Amino acid sequence: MARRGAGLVWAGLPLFFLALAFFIPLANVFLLGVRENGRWTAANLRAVLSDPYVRHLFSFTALQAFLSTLLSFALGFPLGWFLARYRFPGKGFLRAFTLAPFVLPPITVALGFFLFFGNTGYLNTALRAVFGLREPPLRLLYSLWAIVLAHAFYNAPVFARFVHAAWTSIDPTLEEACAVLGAPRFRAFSTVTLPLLLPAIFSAAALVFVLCFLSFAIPLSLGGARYATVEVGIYLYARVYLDFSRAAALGLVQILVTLALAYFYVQGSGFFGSRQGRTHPIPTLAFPSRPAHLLWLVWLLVSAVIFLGPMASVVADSFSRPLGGKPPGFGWYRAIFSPEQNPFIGISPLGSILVSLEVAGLSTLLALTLGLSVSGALRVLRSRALEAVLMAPMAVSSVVLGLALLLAFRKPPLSALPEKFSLVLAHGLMFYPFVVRIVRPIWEGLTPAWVEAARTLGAGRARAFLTLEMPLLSQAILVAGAFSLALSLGEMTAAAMLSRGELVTIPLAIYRFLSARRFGAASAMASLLILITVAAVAIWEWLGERSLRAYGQA
Amino acid sequence: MARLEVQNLRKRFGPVVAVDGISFSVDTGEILVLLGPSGCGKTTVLRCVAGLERPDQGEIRIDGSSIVHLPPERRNVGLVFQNYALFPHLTVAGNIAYGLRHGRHRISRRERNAKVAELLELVGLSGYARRKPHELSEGQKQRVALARALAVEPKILLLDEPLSALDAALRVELRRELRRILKERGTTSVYVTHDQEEALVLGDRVAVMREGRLEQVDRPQELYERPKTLFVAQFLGRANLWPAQLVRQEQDKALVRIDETELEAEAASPLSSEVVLFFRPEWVEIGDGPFLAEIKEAQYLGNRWEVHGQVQGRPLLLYAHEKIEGSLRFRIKRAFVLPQS
Repeated sequence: MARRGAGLVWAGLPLFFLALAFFIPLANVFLLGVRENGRWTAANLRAVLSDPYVRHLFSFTALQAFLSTLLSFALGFPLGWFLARYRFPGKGFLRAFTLAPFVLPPITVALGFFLFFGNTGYLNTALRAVFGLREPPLRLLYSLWAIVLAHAFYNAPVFARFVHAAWTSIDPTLEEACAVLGAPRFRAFSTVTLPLLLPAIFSAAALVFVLCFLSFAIPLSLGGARYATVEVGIYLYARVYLDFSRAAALGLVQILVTLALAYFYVQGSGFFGSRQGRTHPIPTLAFPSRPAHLLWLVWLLVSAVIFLGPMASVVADSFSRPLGGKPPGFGWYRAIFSPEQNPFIGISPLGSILVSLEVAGLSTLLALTLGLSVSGALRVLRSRALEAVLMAPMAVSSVVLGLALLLAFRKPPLSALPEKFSLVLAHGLMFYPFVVRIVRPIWEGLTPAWVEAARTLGAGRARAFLTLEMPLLSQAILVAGAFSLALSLGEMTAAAMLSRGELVTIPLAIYRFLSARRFGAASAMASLLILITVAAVAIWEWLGERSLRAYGQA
Repeated sequence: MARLEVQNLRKRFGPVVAVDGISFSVDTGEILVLLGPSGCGKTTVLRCVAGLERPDQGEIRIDGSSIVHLPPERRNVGLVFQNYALFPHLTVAGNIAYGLRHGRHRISRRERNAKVAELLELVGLSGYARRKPHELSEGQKQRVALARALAVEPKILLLDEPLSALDAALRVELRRELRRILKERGTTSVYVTHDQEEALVLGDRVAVMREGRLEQVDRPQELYERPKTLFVAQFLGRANLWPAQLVRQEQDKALVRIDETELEAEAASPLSSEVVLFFRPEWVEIGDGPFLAEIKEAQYLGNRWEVHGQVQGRPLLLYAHEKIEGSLRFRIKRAFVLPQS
């Protein structure tokens, strides 16, 4: 009936906003790359493509993304297997933990790697003490491997979640059928289970590859200029060499590559048919219950070192690094709440915390508003083209988005806004797709009969929305808000692109402390971010994915 | 309390014609059952009356005034959904009070509480006010859905297969109670079902639907004993249908011939020479008679035997108190003559 009208009402706001804050700025960036003095030119593009440094950027970016994907798979697949097949105390906790890297700020990971795997870090110190060595045995930092390991740290849980989800959607009677037909267990695995897991593995691999391809904070802080990725390259051109045309041209090439990857991902997942069927309660084994489980224990121990070591190092460092020659106690925390100007970060530490909170709060409101209206529009108007337009910011890397807004804020109409709004807009645009991903399936899962029932009982369309859909979506909105807040507080790519004067957020302050080797203050700030991350994950787990979906199935 | 009229209702979904020109009316306090196989369009009729679908054509009136252009919330038509559609975040009391709180005629909290208590009493759920829907059994959910729809005192109450999700024993119990409640409150109701027994028990009149059209609207007994079409005869209950020749017809009496035997039967409409003789299995009297049946199979159903036989190549179904084998003679106590198509 009048549903299309309702859909257009929902779509109006985000369309207007995206045009103003996304499509026009982005188009201007690309024009900058292909126009000079009022004429079309391919000179910039040609220069970029023939530049050996740029070629190196692309090949290095692809290489590290490929290696990172492989290592993520190697670390993540067993974790997914373990979660799917065994029951043990703390399983829920471990499952929740696999979500953490999604929101964990990359700069805290980089800092953790410095403190844990660094030449004078906890791991090398411990190994030297145990084996009585003079030299640090593991020289990981400032190499390709540091980046790959950090990416694997990040993305192994992606594999674990995909594999776990796929495994629990396999009907266990299939493996039982194999057993009855006389297939030994490893054959049942290789001929039935593994082929059914492949779509999930493929999806996860494509996703992880794209994420690593577009990684910024980790290569920037662990690799430097020598091990720069494309994302870092664009940043360097725009913010260090101030060559916007070249940055724009590089951004244009990057977006073409990522769109091709995304197309491949979408086609591939369609081809492999990664349908999420119903979940089956697979029979789980108690762990540990057999001698062979010793292997799992060793693997768990190694994983724990890789995953927990860096994070624990950050927290430990914030409480142990001497401050003024004495044990610090809470000294580093007092220091980061100081209102005094700090020469290393260019603003007072407290000031950067306040800026971060303000940006996070405003951008979360923006992301929720956009996310809700996009969900509302897509729920009614099922058009692929509209979906592509409304979700377009997902396809653009954070550095390119930052560049677009950086340039847009120099001209009207956006120049009328205070500068920090450039970052608010950037974060709002980056995180509303997450809001859509959380809210939309739940909204669409609501039984249409509920609204129909409300209307036959005399409630108008708007009232039915307020009294039924809003309360039923409130948990999803809360979760989406918590995630958006945590993501904004930890986001560094757009923050680095857009930082100017007083606009220094917590991750940027950590990066600057880290660059100046002021570890104590960096650790204290990073610990704060870790705490916020844990809180966001806790909210997710507390409300529970299951309870979020329960209404949809009621 | 109101009279519902539906005239020439049409609704198509893309290429599919769901409702193909349907007219009927329901009198004040009457229960009309729409009966038909699944996909025959009966739910669409209901949704058009409720305002959840907009018909392509046709008129819907309550007490003479058209409601076709009103949105659902302004029609004062209640609907009990097939899966109840209870609001999961509200208690039983919250569900029942929803229309009184957010609907068109809002009343004070005190009046609301009194009304909810009265309705809970009516459906036998006093003491369940604070439960959430997921804490209720299917039967209890059904009662809450009914109470919620009745709370706003709709002029017309629509029920869309409200008992279909329940198990058989509960269904039988609840349909008796449902009829009691509807009759007690004198609510004009349209009840959709595909269960013929339910239709016969619940309806003051039953409308049989087929592929978007009405086949016959009649009192249950009339429908069962004097179906107007072959479809109704076959859809409702078990029947024997034999091709026969019409010898002559005098108003509602007809003389037909089967093989060499002539037989008197009732008839409703003017008939041509080729007709179908319709008789229920329970209208077959075993013993003496003009017909000889060869028994093929007898199935034990507990309270009776269901016997399948053949008479000159025509299938015969009848009920017996004991097992029958071989062959038997019988006569047809009563029969009804239908046109062949």
